[in-house]
Amino acid sequence: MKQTSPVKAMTSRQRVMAALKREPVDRTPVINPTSVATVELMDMVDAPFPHANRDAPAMARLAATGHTVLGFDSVMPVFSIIQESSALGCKMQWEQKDNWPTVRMNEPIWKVPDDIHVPSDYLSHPDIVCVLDAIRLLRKEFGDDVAIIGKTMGPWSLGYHCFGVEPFLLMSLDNPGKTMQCLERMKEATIQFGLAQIDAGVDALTLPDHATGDLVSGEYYKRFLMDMHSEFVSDIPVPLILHICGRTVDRMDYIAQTGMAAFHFDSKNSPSESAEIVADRISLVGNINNPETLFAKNPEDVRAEVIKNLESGIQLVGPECAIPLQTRIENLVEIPKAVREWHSTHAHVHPPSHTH
Amino acid sequence: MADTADLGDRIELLSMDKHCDEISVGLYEHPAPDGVAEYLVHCYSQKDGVAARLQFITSAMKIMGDMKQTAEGRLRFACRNGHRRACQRLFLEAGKFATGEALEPRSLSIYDKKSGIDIIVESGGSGGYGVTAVSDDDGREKRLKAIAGGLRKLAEMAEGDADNQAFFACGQAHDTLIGLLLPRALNVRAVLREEDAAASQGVLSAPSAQSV
Repeated sequence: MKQTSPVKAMTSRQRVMAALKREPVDRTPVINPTSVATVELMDMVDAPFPHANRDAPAMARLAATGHTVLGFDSVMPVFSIIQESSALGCKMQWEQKDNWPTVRMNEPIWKVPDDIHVPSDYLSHPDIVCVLDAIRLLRKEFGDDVAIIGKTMGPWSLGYHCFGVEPFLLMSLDNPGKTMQCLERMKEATIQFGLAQIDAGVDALTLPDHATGDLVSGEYYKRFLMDMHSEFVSDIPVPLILHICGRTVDRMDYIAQTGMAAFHFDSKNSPSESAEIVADRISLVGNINNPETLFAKNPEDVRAEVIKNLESGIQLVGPECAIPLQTRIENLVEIPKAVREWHSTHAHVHPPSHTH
Repeated sequence: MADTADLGDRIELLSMDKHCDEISVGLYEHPAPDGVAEYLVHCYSQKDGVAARLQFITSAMKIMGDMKQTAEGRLRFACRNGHRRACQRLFLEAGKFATGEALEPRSLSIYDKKSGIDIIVESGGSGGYGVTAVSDDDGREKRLKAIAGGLRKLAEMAEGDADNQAFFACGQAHDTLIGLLLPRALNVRAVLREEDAAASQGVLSAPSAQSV
């Protein structure tokens, strides 16, 4: 690691924004680009699912706990991945307190590119307005102290939601041109929602685009999404954190060429191999394992994974994806605790750090 | 940071208590200064009725599992053994009772619908229990063995010399606990399925991995 003179103490927001630009930080920031909502946090602030996905004050209260209770440097009000799809007209299953809302993808709303229509009142839909209002409430509450991260879903994810997973994937095999047309049309929803969240006050945006390692290859990513993700960097003027689940080392080099500020990577990829591939072209956010470590193991196991990330020079530490809703609070508070303690015994780290 | 008291390790969770406004109730384990594992029933909600609900679940664990309550409100077994797995099951079962419901220790005998015979569990001393039946039907031995296996799974009990036996590691009797577990031991697979379903609840999958 490259180590130089100490950096003056930063606010959480300054720390996150600097790390997203790979600038010097006083310590590694801990962020939640997806969701750290749990059923116990919902109880703590009386903001249970599904209400907290549809009511701005509840959404803001629950998001705030990421900082006020867990001690993360960021807050993220968009817990789910379905707000846009609801506004586009998908059939929804809002579920209950201890489960995630989902889109009924077996009842798709679109079949061909010409079906795609982003409604003129898209940004006025209650499930969109809820997010925008929650961001405003959080900005009012935290001022300049805490980074507020929003979320706008990429067109590949919207394709799954609006066309159904299987039809969308089959279309990409049978008619790549038609698939590109679909992505081009759907990206309007991504950009509109992203820009609206910037107006509402976010500092950065997570852009999940589920070209996941299990179904989509690295070459597919390059063919269909790489250029479009570069366009998002130009069209959406805040740092973007791309999120793709699964094993993704086969596309990290392409992702690093898009100009995205950061890639939020899954624990199926080791921190050191990921850092080596992206080679300081973008920041990395990750990658504490959810189902095994955060959900089922103990704070000492969480600490070990945090340290593995820090020692690999990962710029921002956090869970790999939206955490299970039953995750124990003691495991989550261990993440910032472990980061602080690691830095107390290590010199301040100034990115770029992957010189080893 | 605020509101996360040092409760110990959360070892079990009722994610939505249907008897109390869908609150989430946790069971926390903490070693006492004398080294004995103690348990606390806790919820972060400040809603009306939560304190009474927690008190009821705690009482249910005392009555249905013969646990003792300390001056600090924590629960422990008199034998000084943690019996963690049994305690987790006791907590989950206690959460199934509505607040105010009459509670009394369950009998050590039960009618088994599957085999059509009356099952009796008898304490043999030194923490050992034998599963027997007043019947000499064909298949009886196999069924008794399965039920004893169910008890061993539910309470992390040890095997005995015979297939129909189960032993607590502490070497002491826990009749009320056995009475609570017996109905569940008749169909332990259903319990395991329930546990698997609870563990996968609330896990967000990528759209490509969702089934709806």
